[in-house]
Amino acid sequence: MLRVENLTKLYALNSGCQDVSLTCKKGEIHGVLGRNGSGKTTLFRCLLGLIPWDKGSFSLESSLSTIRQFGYLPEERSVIADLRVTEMIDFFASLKKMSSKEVREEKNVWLRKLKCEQLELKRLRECSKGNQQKIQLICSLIHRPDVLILDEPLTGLDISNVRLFKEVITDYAHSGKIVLLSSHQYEEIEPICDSLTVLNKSKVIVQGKLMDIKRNHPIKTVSVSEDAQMIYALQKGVTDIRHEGNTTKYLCNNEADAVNIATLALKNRDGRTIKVESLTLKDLLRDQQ
Amino acid sequence: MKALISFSLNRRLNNPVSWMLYGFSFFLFGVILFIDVLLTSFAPTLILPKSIHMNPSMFDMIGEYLPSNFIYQNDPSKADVFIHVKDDGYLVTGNLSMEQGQVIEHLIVGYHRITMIENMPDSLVSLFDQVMIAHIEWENVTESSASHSGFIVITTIYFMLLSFSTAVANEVVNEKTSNVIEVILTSVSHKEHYYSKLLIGWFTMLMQLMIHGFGFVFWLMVRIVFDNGSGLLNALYRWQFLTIHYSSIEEWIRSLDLQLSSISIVVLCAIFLMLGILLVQLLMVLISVHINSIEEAAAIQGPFYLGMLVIYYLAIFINSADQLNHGWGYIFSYTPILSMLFMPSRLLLTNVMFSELILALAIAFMALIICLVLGEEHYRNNLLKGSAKSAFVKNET
Repeated sequence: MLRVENLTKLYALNSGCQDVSLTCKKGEIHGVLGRNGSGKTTLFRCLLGLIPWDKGSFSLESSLSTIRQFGYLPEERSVIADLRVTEMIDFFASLKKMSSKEVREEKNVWLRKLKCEQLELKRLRECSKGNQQKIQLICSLIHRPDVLILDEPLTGLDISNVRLFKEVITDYAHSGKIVLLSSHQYEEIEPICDSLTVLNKSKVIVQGKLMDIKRNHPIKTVSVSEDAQMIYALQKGVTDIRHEGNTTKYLCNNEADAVNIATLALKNRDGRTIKVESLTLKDLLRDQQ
Repeated sequence: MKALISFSLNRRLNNPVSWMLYGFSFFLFGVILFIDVLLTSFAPTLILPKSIHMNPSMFDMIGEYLPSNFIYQNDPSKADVFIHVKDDGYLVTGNLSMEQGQVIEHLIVGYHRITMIENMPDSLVSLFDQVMIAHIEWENVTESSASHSGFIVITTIYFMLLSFSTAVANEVVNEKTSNVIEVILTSVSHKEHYYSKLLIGWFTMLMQLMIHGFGFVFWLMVRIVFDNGSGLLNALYRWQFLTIHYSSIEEWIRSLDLQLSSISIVVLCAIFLMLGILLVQLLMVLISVHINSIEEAAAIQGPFYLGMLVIYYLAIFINSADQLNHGWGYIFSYTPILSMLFMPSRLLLTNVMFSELILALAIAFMALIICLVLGEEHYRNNLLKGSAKSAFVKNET
């Protein structure tokens, strides 16, 4: 279990993170969300020991040596472009003091899982952005850390690679590890996150299990595509309307009102897509920030 | 730290460009150590002695004094140089360098003197000897060659300093600009990273010396087996790189008269060099942690190189026994960074007291330790500044 208590690292203008506390159990994927500059990376850097923090503490129950407890995938590409893929993995594994036998076995496993066996002898500069990201992910988890910290892991990936990353991350967490991840792609991480910490201006504004958070926000939304005219804006129970391109989202305080709007929309469907769902992470965070 | 050092050494020493360089240096050492053999085959005019013609009576008298870069030629039509005896003196024709001209002049004067003496009565001969031949003894007249050694040492130190310090500093810059530093620091501490950078520069230097040294020693051995180096030494003498003719490498080494004192001087010079390189390398690394892009590197490192260049010219300017025993040269030989250039120069050119040596060593060592300790904190505080998403770190209060 990872327990963070009142961790504070403040820079000028009160940026950084302030009094962040969180608890993650083994097998859990914890999303650390927030706008740019809300303190996510600072929190990760403190946990990784990259920067000293002002106040607070954290503890981790782990049987691994300190050097192997954490794995880190930074937001920015961090590759040595002239190295071959296999050399880069070997280097980062050697920093984690893995034996060559361990490295060989694990490297094969992860290259296969991330479908990049054919890249092994390629130089990183010859790899696509997505493939470089895969190699970086391998470097961050080849030593099977207890806590895997992923800072914006899905940025720049195509749809199939996003799916692959999500599968790998979920499998990894299910093997009894903790995954902390930040992302701005809320729709993508919502299905895989078990719990959340939302930061705004360095402070925690929302925290808890995703299901609990949603339960505390009983708002239902009805999404109707190609509805720029907001046909159902005047229907009973609509509390708010949001636009996402051509799609209009009608927010209702209870399920019955949402179902009524959806029924009406279905009658006039005319090729439109109609969805009734609980408030999404994206909508929720838009309310909070 | 071990992983960082071995990775970095492997990247520096085991890459296509390095291998090309090793091959080139191996080839170059072979060419240098067999230059006489190669020139005899491909450009014999550069290696063969100049043929000289003179009348036989003159040759009988001075032939044995002809240097090895001249060979007597009986047939005047085949000679490069002629010495004609005229009524009022001598006429020399042919292409000669200034040094060769001086040698010939010296021989002619000798010949002339001998022929004059032969025609004199005995009483005049002894008087003539007293007037014409002064008895001169030479003792400790080594400053010229020592100051040449000083110049060579200064230049070698300077370029070693620059090349190895720059390589290490650029590695820090590369790691920062590619954001790899952030991932590395999740596995090693700032301290380990800091010390590994310093050690890497040193190990690289030693390994490269060993690799290139191996090539040199290999060809030297081959040369010794081939002809004990006599052909090469002969050629070097003809080209006036050597002032004395040696018949074998062994004889040449023996002539160096390597004594314990001269070996100690070399070792002490090496110690000052090591301390100086470590200190400069350390300063370069500490400067490099402030660099956030390749473009910035030149702007920030540039003034540092200029400073080093000033020190270099200063050392060349003050490279004389008098300057080094008094005044600025003396003071600089105790000053950290400068001592790596000035103390070896003093050791080569003058007599340095043991207490002076210990004091200079202690000051250089203390300066290195102080910079290491203070630098560690500086390195830790600045290494991640300017890397990705560290805008806030820049504003740290």
